[in-house]
Amino acid sequence: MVNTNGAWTQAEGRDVVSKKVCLVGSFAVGKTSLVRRTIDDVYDEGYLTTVGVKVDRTEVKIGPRTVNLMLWDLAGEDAFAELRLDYIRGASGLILVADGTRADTIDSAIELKRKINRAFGPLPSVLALNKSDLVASWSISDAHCRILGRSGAWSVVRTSARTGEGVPTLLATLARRMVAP
Amino acid sequence: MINSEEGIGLAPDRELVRLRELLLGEHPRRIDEIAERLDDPTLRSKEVGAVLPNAILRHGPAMDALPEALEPQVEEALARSIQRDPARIARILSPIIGRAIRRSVRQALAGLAQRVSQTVDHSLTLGGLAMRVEALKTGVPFSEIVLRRSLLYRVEQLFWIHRETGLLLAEAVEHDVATRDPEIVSSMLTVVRDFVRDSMDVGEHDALDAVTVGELRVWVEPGPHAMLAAVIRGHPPESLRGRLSDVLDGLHAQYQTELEGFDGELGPFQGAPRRLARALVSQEEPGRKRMSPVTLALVASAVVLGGILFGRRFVENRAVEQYVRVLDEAPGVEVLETGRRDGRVLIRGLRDPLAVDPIQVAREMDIDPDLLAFRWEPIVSAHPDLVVLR
Ligand SMILES: Nc1nc2c(ncn2[C@@H]2O[C@H](COP(=O)(O)OP(=O)(O)OP(=O)(O)O)[C@@H](O)[C@H]2O)c(=O)[nH]1
Ligand SMILES: [Mg+2]
Repeated sequence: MVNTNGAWTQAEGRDVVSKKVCLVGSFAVGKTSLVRRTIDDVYDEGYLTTVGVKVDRTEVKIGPRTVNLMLWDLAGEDAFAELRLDYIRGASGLILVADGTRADTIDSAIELKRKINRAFGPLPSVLALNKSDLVASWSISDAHCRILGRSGAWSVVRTSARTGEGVPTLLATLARRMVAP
Repeated sequence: MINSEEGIGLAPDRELVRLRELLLGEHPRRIDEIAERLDDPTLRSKEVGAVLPNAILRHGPAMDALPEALEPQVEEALARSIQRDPARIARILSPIIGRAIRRSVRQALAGLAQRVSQTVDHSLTLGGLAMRVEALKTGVPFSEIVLRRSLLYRVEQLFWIHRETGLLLAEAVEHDVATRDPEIVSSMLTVVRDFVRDSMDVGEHDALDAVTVGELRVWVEPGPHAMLAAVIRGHPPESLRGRLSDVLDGLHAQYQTELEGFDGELGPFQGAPRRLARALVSQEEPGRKRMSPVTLALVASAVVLGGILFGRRFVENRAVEQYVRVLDEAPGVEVLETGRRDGRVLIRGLRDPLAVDPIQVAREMDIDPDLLAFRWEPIVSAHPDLVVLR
């Protein structure tokens, strides 16, 4: 009555590790834009706020290893919507995103990091200071950036989803932090 | 006496101790030791601990009361544990309870499914077909076929998904099916499930177990560490659930430790697709001869058509019979035999050339003369009608 078919795809015999990575940060800091730059290498001026979560996939090579990054692009936090901690469960790494032109988004990133730490313990993290193409109108100083980088809680990378600057570094840095040699 | 009284009065304790020692020898120290053991809770629990397992193991009649005595405590302990972390007990019990529940549900449903498919099977056998011809003629035609068609299905893809991370552990796919980023599908499925659980007011263990996307449906079978999602084309029978959960149970058993310590490494799961593929099943081409609806329609119309042809021949035969009788009774004609040759009815006999014209009779009886052939031996009949004619 029922056929069993012998066809299947073998998970290729390569050295693959999969990691769940969450992008978090205030609304409109550029989380979705960074993902689109990563996946499709495109940039869109328009702003469509993310509702819930959208997952995408990208791969990063670290030596002989392929790191399969599942990027969970979460809705930004604002006065009305609090971050849903449920979505962070099971994550191996965090990309915290802040908008260099809005200093308060850095405070939010720090606060988010603290909150997630409390719930899940410290996770390998990278802070993306996004919109580096607008650095002229940034509201934070170089000194401030350096201090942020010294905390040890995360690596800090300047990115621009618009120009693509720093985006590959962002992912490679996090991948390396997650797949400790 | 007074002195001695004084003496006793001065050091009564020491004297008593000495007296006790004289009377009882070593015993007083033992008694003190025992008293100490009874008074010191740490010591006492240590000692009881040392003998307790043995005491319980010894099935003396005195022990019979133990289960009864423990019952409320054990119940209370379990209740508290469940209250504190229900997931823990659920995880411990799920292989047993889950299996038992699934099995009984499956059995209940299997009975129902069987009945449906038997009815349908019967209607599709050739024997059943003959009986259906009447139904076909009377216009209750293909409802059964539609039902049968609705039971056809194929499992096209299987995703084995780690629950907590939503990561794809392994995948099995029919060779002719194109997959688009199964990893993303897996993650999004967990998102959708979480979403449904959170936003609809359902219990913690109720979750989305089926999604329909166009003509595809996705069935999700939950497990303690990982879930199985099956992408199915068509209309699967409920019994497929059982197969899915069996495969999932098998995977959990095989990869227990790897699942518990899972941190994204996919290497250990390279053998999983082979096991997964056991649920890549379909019900399109059954081992038993069953006709596809198209074939069935063709056969059915052939039967109907055949019926019509056969019927016509039958009617034809009756007319010929009558014709032969009429001929036979005609004066000067003696039919000796009838048969068929080259699609015509051959009539042999004796005939007086003055007797009726057989072709004329055929025409009068509405029989196509072209369907008839004759072999007549000419005779001279002594029939009075012909004698008169002569
Ligand atoms: N100039 C500049 N604009 C950017 C950059 N990245 C994003 N933007 C713009 O910022 C706006 C918000 O970007 P999104 O990527 O949608 O922001 P988000 O963090 O996903 O927002 P939510 O989904 O609402 O949390 C859009 O108009 C983008 O075009 C950047 O690197 N430079
Ligand atoms: Mg967004």
